Amino acid sequence: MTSASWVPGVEGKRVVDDALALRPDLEGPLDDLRTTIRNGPVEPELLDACDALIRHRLGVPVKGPIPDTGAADLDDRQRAVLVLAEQFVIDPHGIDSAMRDALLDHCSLAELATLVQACAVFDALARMEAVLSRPASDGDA
Amino acid sequence: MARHRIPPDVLDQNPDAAAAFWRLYGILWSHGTVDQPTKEVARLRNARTTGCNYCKAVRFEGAREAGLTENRVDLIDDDYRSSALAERDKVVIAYVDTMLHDPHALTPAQREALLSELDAGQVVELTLGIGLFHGFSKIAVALGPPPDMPTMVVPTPDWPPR
Repeated sequence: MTSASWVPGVEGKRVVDDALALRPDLEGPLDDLRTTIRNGPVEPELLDACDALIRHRLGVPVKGPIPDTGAADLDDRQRAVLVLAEQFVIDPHGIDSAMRDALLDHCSLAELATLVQACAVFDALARMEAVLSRPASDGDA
Repeated sequence: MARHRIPPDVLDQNPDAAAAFWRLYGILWSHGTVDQPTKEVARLRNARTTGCNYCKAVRFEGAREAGLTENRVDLIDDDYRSSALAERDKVVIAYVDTMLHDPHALTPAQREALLSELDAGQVVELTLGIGLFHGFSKIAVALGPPPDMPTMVVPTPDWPPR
């Protein structure tokens, strides 16, 4: 059985968590950051949707449904947040003043601060998972 | 013309998250096991690729004191492979490029090269670092790109702050 990561000592199936277990000095502060973001002013369900969208765009497995920014059942706030998250992962230079205005029509500055930090962390951890994972071409992972 | 103004210190609007980030970042930079010049090479490669003017202008003091001169920084460009940069720097730059452009495309040769330069824990530290450099430089771009800035040497992030 081949391990899920190419990094020696990362043996389990949860690549990022198992990799960070090699570095508890970083794992603890990262967990604190993630918890603080989750306990902030943005509803966790919306943060989860941003995470799913970012992971999907980076080709990393997603548990549950993948949000569709064009879905009719989204309200204006949800849509503005998800549009920002999707553009954040694709190319932040594509986030223009109209997009920021649409977000700030429905979010406070504290919510904006939380959202962009959440997107940064989701983007970072999805890339980390992708790059540390052993590719399928290596065989049985 | 934007209808809403975003203050430059907007991340402080969630002070708990900002403090948690600076704690993580300070520990990574000043208490990690990867040397500071290696992390600075990765950070600057990301800054130039992501197009964050603030990140491109900043130089962390610790890396400079440890020998990362401006001449060496100048070599972190498109022609880095044929430059006089050390092999370690070239391996790190290639890793940053892979993480940013297609993180599924790391080659066996790249893995081998990384593991010849870094132990497993250091690979994890560098990888987390690149992810954070990228994610947080994207914030600076997303909130409204800052103008070009002159090069400035700033204290290396530390925790507790110096």
